[in-house]
Amino acid sequence: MQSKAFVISADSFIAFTLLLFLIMLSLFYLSQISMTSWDYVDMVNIVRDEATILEKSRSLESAIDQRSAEPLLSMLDASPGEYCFDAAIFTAQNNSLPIVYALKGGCDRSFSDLSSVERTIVSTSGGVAKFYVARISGWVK
Amino acid sequence: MMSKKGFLFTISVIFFASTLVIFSQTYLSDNILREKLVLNNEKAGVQPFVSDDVACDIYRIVGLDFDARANPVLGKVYLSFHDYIPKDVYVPSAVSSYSAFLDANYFPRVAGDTSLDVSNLSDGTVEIFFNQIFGYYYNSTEREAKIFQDNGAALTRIDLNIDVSNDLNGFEWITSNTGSVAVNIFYSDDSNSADFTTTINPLQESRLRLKYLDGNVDIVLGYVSSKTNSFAVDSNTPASIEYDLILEYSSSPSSLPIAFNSRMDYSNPIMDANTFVRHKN
Repeated sequence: MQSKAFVISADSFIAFTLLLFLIMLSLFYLSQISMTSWDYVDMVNIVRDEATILEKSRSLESAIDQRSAEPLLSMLDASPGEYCFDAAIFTAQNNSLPIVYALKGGCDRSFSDLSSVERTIVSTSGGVAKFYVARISGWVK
Repeated sequence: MMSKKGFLFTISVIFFASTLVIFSQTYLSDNILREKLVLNNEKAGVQPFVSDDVACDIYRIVGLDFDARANPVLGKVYLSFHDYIPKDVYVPSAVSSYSAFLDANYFPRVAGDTSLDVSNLSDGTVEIFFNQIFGYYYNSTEREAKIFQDNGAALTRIDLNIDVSNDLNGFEWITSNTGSVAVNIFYSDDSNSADFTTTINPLQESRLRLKYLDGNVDIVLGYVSSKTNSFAVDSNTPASIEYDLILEYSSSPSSLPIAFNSRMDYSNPIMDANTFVRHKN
């Protein structure tokens, strides 16, 4: 009788251990599921929209002509409050030092994920076509 | 008997737990595949943005403000232009420089392979199409802008406001064919202004010549370069011309996408696209 009880105890111990292991394994697999790509897609689309607004409102062009961040700031500050954006405009010759830079008011450049897009800008002031690259970046506040 | 039942219970539990593991593993794999699909498609999604960006820049180089609106209830299309002759920059060389800039500075940083063929814009004539029904042509050398229809759309009204930085010496209707199209032209220059209100036959040429000491500006209505229901401004003076034009047509297109006569090729591992560079308002 005692040896039978031992077999049952050992059997149930193994079964529970195995069950626990399999449940832990399932939880491990489920914990690997991430939705970050959707967040990335949402954020990059928001930044693209912001870049389109800046380009079609001619804010980027005005910022270049005036060498001022003001035209950009007025548009960036009007963007949805939960997002932060900055915009940097570079000449065709130098894409490391921006000629104009604007950071949305109330934001600082601290983020876990950053999405950036680039737009090309043409300025025809002075009768000469000059080309620039604008880099617009966005992150969740 | 009791131990047999216990054994069966143990096997059942292991079987169900294993199923749970397999399901969660499959769900994870499926999620990874979906994520991969999303990210790959997202890379392809950059193409319309690049096309719109390029179109926006060409639009700046051409220096033309235009809009196309359709009123399906009235069956009318309204084409609006705010244009300059000559342009701020010499368009053929500016477009070529822009294309070289894209190849060197921009396209290498865009996901996928992108190339732009601007040969049809840098050959001296800028062409913009409105759903292949209407077309705008500007010849930089001839200083001539034309707006054509190519699909039987009937011109019903022309409103033109033209300003020339010169001093008018006289004007003359070289050809005049009255008809059903209402025409309102308001002319102004450095020291003169005039109104021309008339009707024209859209199938025949009506040409108003504005005369200056250093040349003429011709406004051609109706029949222009083998096309009926069209409009042109043809200048051979060095003076700069600025005009606002509204053309009203009887036509019911479902949409009027605006495209430049330049082609963008885009490819990445999951898609190939060849399109006209399109502008979105």
